[in-house]
Amino acid sequence: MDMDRTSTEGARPRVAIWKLASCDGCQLSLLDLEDELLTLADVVDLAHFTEMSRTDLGGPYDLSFIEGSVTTPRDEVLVGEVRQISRRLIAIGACAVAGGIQSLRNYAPPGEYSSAVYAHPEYLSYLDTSMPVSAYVKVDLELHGCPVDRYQLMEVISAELVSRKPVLPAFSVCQECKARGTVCLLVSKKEQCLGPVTRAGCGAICPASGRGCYGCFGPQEAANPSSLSMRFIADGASSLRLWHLFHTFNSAAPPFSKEGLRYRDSASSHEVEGVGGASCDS
Amino acid sequence: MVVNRAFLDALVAALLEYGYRVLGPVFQNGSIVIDDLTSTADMPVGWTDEQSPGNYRLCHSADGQLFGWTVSPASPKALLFPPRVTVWQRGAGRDDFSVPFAQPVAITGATKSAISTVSKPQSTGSTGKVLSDTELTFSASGTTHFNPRSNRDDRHLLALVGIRPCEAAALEINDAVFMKGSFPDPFYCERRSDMFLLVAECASSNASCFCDSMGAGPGIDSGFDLAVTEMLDEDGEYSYFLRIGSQRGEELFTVAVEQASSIGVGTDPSIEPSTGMDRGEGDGKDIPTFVELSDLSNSVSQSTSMQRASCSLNYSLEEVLAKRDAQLQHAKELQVGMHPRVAELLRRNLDHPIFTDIAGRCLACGNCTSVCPTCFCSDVVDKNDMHGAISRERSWSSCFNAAHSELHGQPVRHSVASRYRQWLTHKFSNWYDQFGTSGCVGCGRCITWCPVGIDVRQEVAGIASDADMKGDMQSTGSHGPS
Repeated sequence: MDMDRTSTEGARPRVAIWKLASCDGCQLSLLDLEDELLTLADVVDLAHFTEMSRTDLGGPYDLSFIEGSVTTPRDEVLVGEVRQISRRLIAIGACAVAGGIQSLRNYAPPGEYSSAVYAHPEYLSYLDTSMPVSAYVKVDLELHGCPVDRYQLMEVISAELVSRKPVLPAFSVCQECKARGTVCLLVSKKEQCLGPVTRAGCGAICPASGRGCYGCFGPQEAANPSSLSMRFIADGASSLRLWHLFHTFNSAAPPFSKEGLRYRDSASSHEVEGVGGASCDS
Repeated sequence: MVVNRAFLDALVAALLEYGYRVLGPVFQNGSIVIDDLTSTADMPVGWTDEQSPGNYRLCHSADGQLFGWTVSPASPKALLFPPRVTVWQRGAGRDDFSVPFAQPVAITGATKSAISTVSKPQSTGSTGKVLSDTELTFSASGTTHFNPRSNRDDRHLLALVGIRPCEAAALEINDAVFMKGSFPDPFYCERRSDMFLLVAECASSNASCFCDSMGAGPGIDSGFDLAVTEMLDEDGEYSYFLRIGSQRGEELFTVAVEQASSIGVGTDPSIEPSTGMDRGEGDGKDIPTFVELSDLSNSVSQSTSMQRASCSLNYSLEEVLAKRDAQLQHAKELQVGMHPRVAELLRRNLDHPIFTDIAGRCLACGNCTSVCPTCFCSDVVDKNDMHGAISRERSWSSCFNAAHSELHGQPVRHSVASRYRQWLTHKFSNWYDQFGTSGCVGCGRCITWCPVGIDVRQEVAGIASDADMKGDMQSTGSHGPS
């Protein structure tokens, strides 16, 4: 986008929000901006945002945010259409970026998950796998997280207003923990925290609440999950625990996918997960 | 002289009265953090720590030891080099430009002059010395984002109480980076030049400590205002061998003595500063000026002596010094050191295959650089918001991040092996070329807080044993980082 266009009244970026297989949590993060909503409505045209309004101003769109994974034949068609009418396509959230929790079925026998969830799975029509948007069309930017961080959404829109590159970290959650002064749970309490292999962006909210990171932002840029697993094994983690740790919201992200699979086959459902924790007298 | 814990409280009270923000190791939510303290009761009383590669545990004992732990999880680095600062900002109104980063925080004249600043480092106080005229024109108002976690008081007059010799040594290394170069950091200079240091020597070491081989501990001979050595008395109580290292420390001490008298302890305020006394043996450095008080033990009743501040010389100086030496020696003996010729060794082994081996274990998470008391790299970005306000923000960065080596859109150091090598060689080797000293003080935090327990001493020892086998320090690995 050129600078003139943003500075001219009436030529605000046209923004659309789309949904594939997802829980709506990511697009709701935009509505969670609350104090910024009026400003947002001033600086962009929210042209297609069905969680907010039934009004549809129509395309083409400058910025299309798309949540959800490509899971059904309908998703596959929609994602192609959205790409066609969008200048910039931004995948938002773990589903759109890494297949989401529903991509667990990618690693299970066909029909196993659907028959566990639905009374009549025969009415379903779905693809063999749940895949990120980037598996089907070119994506210009990905925002990670389950859900995405609303300030990152705002950062992308703000950056677009002046045609700059958005500032989005690719490093580990650990650095956010250190920046806010949280003492490492992994080292001090033997929590099985995925922070070292997970991408920053959330502000390290889970460790600050005393809970290990469960990796919802997916792998960081230089993730080394196999080394982290060795540490967890030394602390008593079972194969089942490791499989479950890595196969959650981002199980289609290659580093997590691979690491989860490494332990899946040796995992037994009778195992104790071995969730760690340490105290002085242990 | 030897003082009791109540006298340390009097020192803290005196610092607070002078307007210092007193910070130190505070026991908070089950861990030790650097935070505001109002008395020694806030400190990790009775807590000891067990540290080893990738492991940290706190254990409590019933005794009243203040400094039974070794080093706290976080160094005081963040106080002078905060994780995030706004360098400058311009509001949506286009005319409200401010430079919060360089903004001196107003303190009352009385407070400022109350404690004389001795050996005041250069380029302090006035931001005029470090900012160009153009920049100064705009620095009209603004707030300093001191600690992103809270909105608490942000006075720049800081006193660090109970930090370790290695941390004091790290501050001197940081001075070379932030204060003595061509581009002094105004935020750092403002706070560092008036910073009061009460250093606690180490009587023990953890399994990650290697300050002795880096010459940064466990004792301290200079670079402090006051230094204490905690000693266990025969009666099971702790007392503190107190030394004065600066004029500022002496003034504070005098005030604390007055305070102690005012709360009803029969202290004799007559102070006779004596000249520096030689420690007798060791590295030939003089122990800074001692202040001897007349023996007060008689005027303080036995039953209440531990509750009240006392400041006395119950022991002969020889006894105290012998006890201190024994403690420091004990701390040294517990340490596994760094290779003595690490700088040269690394310089000659840049392509050693061990870097690829380490990369197999390294998480590239940046914990080591975050906890390091001397890692100073930062990232600076310009941002706008939806309202039209713009700001320049500086935040901690790490050589383990791809973006850290990004040039023309691509990182130069793609492999984790090359990032680890960058960190290791800068800290232990290139730092000498850049600043004339080592970049490491041997606090061992990078070892303890590495989630997979990578131990720099062990990795360097691996390179050294290879070099020994080859008969010299040259190694010709062919699988070096790319």
